[in-house]
Amino acid sequence: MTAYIVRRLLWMVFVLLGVAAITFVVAFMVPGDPARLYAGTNASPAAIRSIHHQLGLDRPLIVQFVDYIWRVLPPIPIIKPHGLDFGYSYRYAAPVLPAILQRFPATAELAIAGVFFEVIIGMPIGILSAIRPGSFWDRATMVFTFVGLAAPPFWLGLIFLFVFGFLLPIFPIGGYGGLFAPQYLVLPALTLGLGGAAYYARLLRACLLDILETDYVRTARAKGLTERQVVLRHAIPNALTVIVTQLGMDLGYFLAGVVVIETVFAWPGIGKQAVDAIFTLDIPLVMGTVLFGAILIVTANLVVDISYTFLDPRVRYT
Amino acid sequence: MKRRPTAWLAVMAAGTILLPACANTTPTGGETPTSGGTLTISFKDDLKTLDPAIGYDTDSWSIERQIYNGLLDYDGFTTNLKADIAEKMPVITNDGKTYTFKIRKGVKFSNGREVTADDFKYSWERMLDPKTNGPMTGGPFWGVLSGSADFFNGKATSISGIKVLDPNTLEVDLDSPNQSFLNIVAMPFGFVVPKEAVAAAGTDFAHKPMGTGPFVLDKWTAGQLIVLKKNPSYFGTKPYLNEVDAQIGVTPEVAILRMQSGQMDLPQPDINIPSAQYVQLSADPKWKNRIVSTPNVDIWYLAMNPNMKPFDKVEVRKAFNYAINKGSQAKILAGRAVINNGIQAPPMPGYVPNYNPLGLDANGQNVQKAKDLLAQAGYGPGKPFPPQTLVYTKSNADADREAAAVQQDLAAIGVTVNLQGLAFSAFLDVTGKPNTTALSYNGWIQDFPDPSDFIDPILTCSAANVTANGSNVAFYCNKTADALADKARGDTNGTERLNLYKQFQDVVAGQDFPWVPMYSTVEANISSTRVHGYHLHPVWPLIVTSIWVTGAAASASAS
Repeated sequence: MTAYIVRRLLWMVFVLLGVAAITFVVAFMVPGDPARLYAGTNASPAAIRSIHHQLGLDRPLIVQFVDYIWRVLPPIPIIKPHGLDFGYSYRYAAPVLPAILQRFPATAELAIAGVFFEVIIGMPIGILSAIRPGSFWDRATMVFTFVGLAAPPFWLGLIFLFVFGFLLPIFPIGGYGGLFAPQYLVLPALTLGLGGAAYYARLLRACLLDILETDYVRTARAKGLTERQVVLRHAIPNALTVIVTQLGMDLGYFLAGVVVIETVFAWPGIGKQAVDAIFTLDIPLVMGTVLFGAILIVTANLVVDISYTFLDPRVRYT
Repeated sequence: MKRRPTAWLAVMAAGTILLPACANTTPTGGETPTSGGTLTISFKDDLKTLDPAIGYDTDSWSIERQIYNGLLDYDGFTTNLKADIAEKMPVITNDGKTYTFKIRKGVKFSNGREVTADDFKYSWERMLDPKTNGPMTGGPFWGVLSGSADFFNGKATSISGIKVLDPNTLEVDLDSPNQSFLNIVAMPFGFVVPKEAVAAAGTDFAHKPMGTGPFVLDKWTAGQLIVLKKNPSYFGTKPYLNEVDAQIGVTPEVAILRMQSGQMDLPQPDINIPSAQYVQLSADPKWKNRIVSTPNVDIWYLAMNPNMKPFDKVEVRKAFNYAINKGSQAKILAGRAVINNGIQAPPMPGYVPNYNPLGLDANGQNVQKAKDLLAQAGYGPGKPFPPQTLVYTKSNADADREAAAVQQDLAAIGVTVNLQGLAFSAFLDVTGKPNTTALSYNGWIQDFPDPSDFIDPILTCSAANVTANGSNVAFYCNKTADALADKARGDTNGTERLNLYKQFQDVVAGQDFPWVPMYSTVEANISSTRVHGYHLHPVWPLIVTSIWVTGAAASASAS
């Protein structure tokens, strides 16, 4: 297991280098000049030249990239006393990493709450649909899943804001009340979770329907176990591998920022920060948020893979 | 000021005001102003900076204006200049090349230190120093200062044209007379900052600002909230409000919902109400009287590059001027714009009301004439007009609809147009390079209310003579017109100067046609019922010193 984890961590370095290289090239291929946006549209060519120089944008691309990677790498004794320097945001003239970390708690809170809603809504629906296939409940919940999957989150978010914030003023109309302020968290997390819940319900239903037809389930029934025991002890644990895989991916994806939800609900997370950075060609902030997101996603995948060994005794890593 | 990424606005067709409530101030109900309370406003995006040497956008200026002062300001809600930190308007000598400012005594920074002439010399040199990375480095506006070129090039450590004669006297020398210099001084780039606060903030003065203004920054939580508190040592008339809270990251649509439910006072004060909500609010008896509006100093136009085919033929450019239905553009903006056939905006000195050199109809159009002109240019059934691409900035739903309306108008005269909507950064890039974009949809908003600002940066040869990052997006250059602009720039005779600018307009809009001028917009904002004394300013995006609030405070604990 240890060797496997070390191998995966080494691969992570290569993945992140690849992500950094692609992001860097794409950021510079996009038409537009960061100095022009920084200086304003009336800035003189001299001002833009000066800003290019100050920001180091007048150096060859490869030099800029190598310099960036060298600064980002963690400190290495003797060779490199400093590290984890993601540079300065052009737009905010502030260090990138603290800017991301300052917003990360809000994103993390939303991501965890979003996943929570996915699970507590999606799993019961999926299970109940699977054990009563073709029933009224099954058909009704499948309608829910269609709607949940089809509804665009920005639309759903605005509807929630209008209904539960404006017409029935139960919740605030967007905003962020800091950590542990559930009144602000419920609507964005529910909007985030509903789409996923619909997907989980369908996934779990399909998975359970397959499992409930397998030989070992038939054996369990033949041994005289009740249907409740069959589902809870034998079917659901075996379906969990699929669910956990999806959960890990979702959590990593959400932690990297949920742009639409953050924008609609004025939630100060890193997703909106990343999009603003893209539109303002704030390349250090774009690089920082993309790398930060990539680290979270590959870490979430690693955790999911390791969790398989606990969920399924047959899985062994060497 | 700058080419705006969005057209938020809308229309008054052919000079007919369609706005349901065109007052530029909120109704006060005859109430007496009361002091105290908190005003809650919102911005969609986090502010870039509060350093006046750097900020060049309306969000930043909305807050900077509350924290800082300069030598001059605008009188009330007019475009007339008045002394601010200056004791009185400057004495102008040396044929309009030397300005002597007396600094008012007793003006203090919020750290308690008195402002002197040295502070202005420091602030202006800092603002122009290439190390500051500000947009004014290298020449825009402030390049008229004597010795600025040597300063920009590193040949001098200070600007010889800024002289401190004594602690209360600042003398400024220009290379040549410039009638817009006082407007330049009144821009936020001219605000005074204390050297010791800049030094103490290190590289972060943008987030730790200090000035002389009516408010001081109390808190700035990035992406969430900015809190301003009343400055007890402010030298001017004290504001009524104790506090201004700016909620960050709130879209205008959500901000208006918050306002309607009592959680917000002024939703995004520096941009227009989104068109869809404007239509709804202006029909709502509860809210229509809360809408205030005033003409913007801006112009929206199609730019045609005369150096690129097929726009090298004046008949083609003229035909496009006849083809566009400007009334349609205005309608898309929900009734908040005026049709404009010239190059100056209605509130600007030198604007000619009902200017119509081509004799266009009420929608600013004459389709038959456009077809005839294309035929004169040699295009017809035997030689179809080559398909064109209209480049525009894809900023909101209005922008897409406006571009589509242009496409439809040009199709009516047999011109096929492909639409290319771009992000603002990409739009600036492709329209700012010579011989790259033949046809584009543009807007220009004032830096200051002087007609030179609608000519020098966007219609002169020097503005066209760039290799990239140009603002003269038509790359228009007419030396005869340039001579008029040169002469007008330093002309001290106001009437004669405006006549020169009118002649310039005749050359552009009545002879050469590098643009299809379309409309100037009308700003419309809304405030909650607890807000009183809210006016729209013709230059500043937000003035809060005239505002007082009544009733329970809007909830501003979260952003």
